[in-house]
Amino acid sequence: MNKDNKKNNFIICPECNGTGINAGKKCLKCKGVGVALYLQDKVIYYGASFNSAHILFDKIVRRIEIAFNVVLGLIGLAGILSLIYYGYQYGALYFLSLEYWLTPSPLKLFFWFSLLVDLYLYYRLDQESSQKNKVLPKQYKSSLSSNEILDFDTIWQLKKSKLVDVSKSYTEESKKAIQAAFELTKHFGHDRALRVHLFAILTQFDASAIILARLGVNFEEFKKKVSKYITKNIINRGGDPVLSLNIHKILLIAYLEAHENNDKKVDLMDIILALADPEQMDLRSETDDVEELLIEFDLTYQKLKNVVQWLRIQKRLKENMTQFKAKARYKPKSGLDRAMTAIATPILDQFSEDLTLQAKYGHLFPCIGRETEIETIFRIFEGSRDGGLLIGSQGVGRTAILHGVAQRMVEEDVPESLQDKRLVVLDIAKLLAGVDASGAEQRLLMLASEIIRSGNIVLAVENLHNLSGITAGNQSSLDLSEVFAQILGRHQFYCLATTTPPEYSKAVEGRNLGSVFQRVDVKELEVNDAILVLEAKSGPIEYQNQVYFSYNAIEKAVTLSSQYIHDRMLPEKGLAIIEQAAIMVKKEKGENKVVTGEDVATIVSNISNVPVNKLSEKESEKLLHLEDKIHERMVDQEEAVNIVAASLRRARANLREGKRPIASLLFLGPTGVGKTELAKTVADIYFGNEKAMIRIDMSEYQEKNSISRLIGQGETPGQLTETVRKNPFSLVLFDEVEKAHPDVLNLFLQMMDDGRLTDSLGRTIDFTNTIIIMTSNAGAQFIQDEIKKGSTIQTIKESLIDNELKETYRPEFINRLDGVVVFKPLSMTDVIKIARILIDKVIKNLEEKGITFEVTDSAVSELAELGFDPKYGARPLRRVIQNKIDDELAKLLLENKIKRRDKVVLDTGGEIKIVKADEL
Amino acid sequence: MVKQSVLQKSIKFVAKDILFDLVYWLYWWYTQGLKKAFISMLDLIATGNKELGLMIWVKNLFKPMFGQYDWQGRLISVFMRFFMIIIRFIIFLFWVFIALVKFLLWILIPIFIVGQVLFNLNLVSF
Repeated sequence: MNKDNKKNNFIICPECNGTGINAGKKCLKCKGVGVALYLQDKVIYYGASFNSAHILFDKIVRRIEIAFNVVLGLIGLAGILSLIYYGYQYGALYFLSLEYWLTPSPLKLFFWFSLLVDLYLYYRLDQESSQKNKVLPKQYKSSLSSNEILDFDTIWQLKKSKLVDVSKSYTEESKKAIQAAFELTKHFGHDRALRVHLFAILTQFDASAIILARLGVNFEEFKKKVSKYITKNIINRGGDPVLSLNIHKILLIAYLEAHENNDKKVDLMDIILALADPEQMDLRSETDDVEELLIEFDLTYQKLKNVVQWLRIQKRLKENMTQFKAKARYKPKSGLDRAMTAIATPILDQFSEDLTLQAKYGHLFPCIGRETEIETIFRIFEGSRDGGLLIGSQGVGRTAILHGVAQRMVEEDVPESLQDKRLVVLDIAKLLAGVDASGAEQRLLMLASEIIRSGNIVLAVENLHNLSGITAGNQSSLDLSEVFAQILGRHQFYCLATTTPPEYSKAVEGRNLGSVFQRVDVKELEVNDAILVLEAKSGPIEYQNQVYFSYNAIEKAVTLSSQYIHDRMLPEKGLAIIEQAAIMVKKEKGENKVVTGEDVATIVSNISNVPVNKLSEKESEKLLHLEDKIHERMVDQEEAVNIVAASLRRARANLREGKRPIASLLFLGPTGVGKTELAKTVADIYFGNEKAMIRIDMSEYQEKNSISRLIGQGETPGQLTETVRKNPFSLVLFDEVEKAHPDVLNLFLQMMDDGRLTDSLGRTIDFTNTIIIMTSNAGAQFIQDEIKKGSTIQTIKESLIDNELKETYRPEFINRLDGVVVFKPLSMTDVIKIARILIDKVIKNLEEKGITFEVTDSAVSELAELGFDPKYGARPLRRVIQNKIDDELAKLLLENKIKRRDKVVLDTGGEIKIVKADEL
Repeated sequence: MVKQSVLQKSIKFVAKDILFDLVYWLYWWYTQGLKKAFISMLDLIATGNKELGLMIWVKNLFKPMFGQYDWQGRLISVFMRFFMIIIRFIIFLFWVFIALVKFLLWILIPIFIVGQVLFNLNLVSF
């Protein structure tokens, strides 16, 4: 609605302030209408009254009308009975005698009168069902300029044809809903019916309840919260209630919704949409704050709109089916056409399936959102007699388009050259089965001659590329695809084929086959179109599994899969997800349960190994204490740990920008201070596994041409792109990045900025789910010197960025980093802590063997001292522990000097004491 | 038009929706109702054409049946098609006749009924 963003110019009666009631009486100025609005060249208003007397009156009138119709019907029936009685009395032949027609009688009088009544009843029923008082259809002519703001005095002087009472276009149900809201107002004793009242009764009506149910609103909770809100916030009480200004506006906006949608009547769906109308959202008032309730239940205009669309699609599918069946009646059941020009095609029938026949019997699902592609195919057939080749990746819906064409052919809603024809899809597997290449060629030629002779066949070939590469073996023999191209080259029949982009460039493009086809690109569906397809296709899945999809489930299946699953296409991947979710819900929760967005998120998490569902309390706890968790493995480096932890939290709470990697960090510092260790820890904590780390040593990429090794060359996949393509959720660690060739760093700019890279095969590799960490030793000496001088990390970092780094990296590179993290050299106390961590690992290992191992504090310090080298950081420590502890223990174990339950103590000087356990 | 009181509405209901409606019914029968009946007649004729495929046969008069492109086949086809067209046209005429009768009934039936009513009331005699 209001796509042009034009604000609705409501004309509000100044006397009654839009309520239609002034001092307890009908407002004289606006004649009780309250609010009016321009629509095209007319003025619309809601003309039905809502006080109790009127409601009662309307109810009585409706009853009288029904009763009247029933009486009329009974009279008609009695007339027929009287005729039967007459015939019974005098015999049926009496009706043919002249005497019957020439003698008047009361019974006959009654019969003829009853016929007259029948005609009147027919007229009444026809009037009721005919679309009198339709919503104004959309027009594109210039409208009455809304600039001339009229008041009610001038409105009532307009011609009668310019005034539209929208209440007449409301359906019975929507009128009842407004009455219900009014009665609720009375029930609470409030002085005016507000939007909140209207909102409160939504669950009582099927049409609106189904929308709320699809949006996952819990009805009990809904009733509780809404009634609590009403009792708490609305205090004005008094007499017979009136409709508030806001309700009057809603009634007109609902009409606009129906008008915008080209609906014939205003139904409850339009009223719901009007309640959530974005333009009204700024009319928030303390007592009538329907927005507050909408936010509470997570209902937005867009969501409601999509659900309404969902219900409309399902309704349309049903309507289309009946229409389709009526049209399909005329399509012949046999392979013959209606003009009887075709011949039987026994050979073709053996190697193919008739899609039009399947469509005729309703076996094919309607094709949604592909009108453009189908029209393109028709244009190709009309314009040239070339074939149409649908090129699209697996799962974008190429087969669905073929089905769509078949359905259009059944309805004969096709250009004339395709009318009275059938679409037959060739089964390549059957064609090739059991024969060698020359046999297959012979079959193909025979098929073709049948098709040509029959003249009513459009041939479809799925995965056209499967025809290529089939030859009799020797050099002179033709490829099967060449044979097919030659047949098609004669333009004697229409052909529609499908293939994928890579196969197209490999097997079709530039060959004969490519020259006889015109390409039709089938793109992946947009998110909104994919939601529509899923909505349409959700019906059968729901029926099969006896579960119901909430709107969130459908929406999440599309948005999450487009975000996290990259090797498959929409809508296929979305469909696969809702199918799995339905099965899971049926298994875990049972039948007749609702599939929620969370269920879908769980499935996506399982497929992609990335946590996408809502944060559980346990996980939130873990994220909040991420620093402690990291410090279990990392000693000190507070600043580095804080930056990393903060960026992980941002990513998981979904607050990061969507189109960049989760984080791009540059770790600076001397060797052996824990840069790699922190990366490993992050991989372990965030991706659940230390192995989710792709490590690339940039010293191997010092040449200019080494870029091709990263992103691939020709058919060879790149080392970086291929690994990330296969594991899109990982930490990518670029070690010693200062050693890489500057051109390699330029490549990184795109990766950090757009979150993607294109590999040599033209595939887009997604980096938005990776954490990128680069380590560098640049400035290591500077850091060490400054630390010795006692400078703070902050000042070191600033001067590094301003001076040292500029020599190695371009400013745009540094700008794109989320953070430059300076690791300070380790102090002796740090090293002792690290030694402790490493020794703890040994202790854990021995525990598994049933041996207790203890290391005295002085021994730890001694080892730390041995293993610490200011130049190499803590790196030698591991070696020292290996030499001094692991080796010694291994020797003792082999000599059988330590047994289970023994206690081993390591003291200073490498002295190892064994405390034997008591014999059992 | 516009909001009315219950009394106004009651008068309107009796006067317009009940009394005037009886008069309007006759007017409707020979205006909008007649138009509807005419459209439904055209629909019926169109359906007949579709059912019988008459236009398809006419269009393909000289196209051989069953892919028989030799001259014998062509000759037989033309005769066969001509024959089929005649048969189908006769059926179609019958169809049109039914549709026309239906339309005429719409026009005549109220008059006939009224006539019968008057006759049985002894107000007119034949």
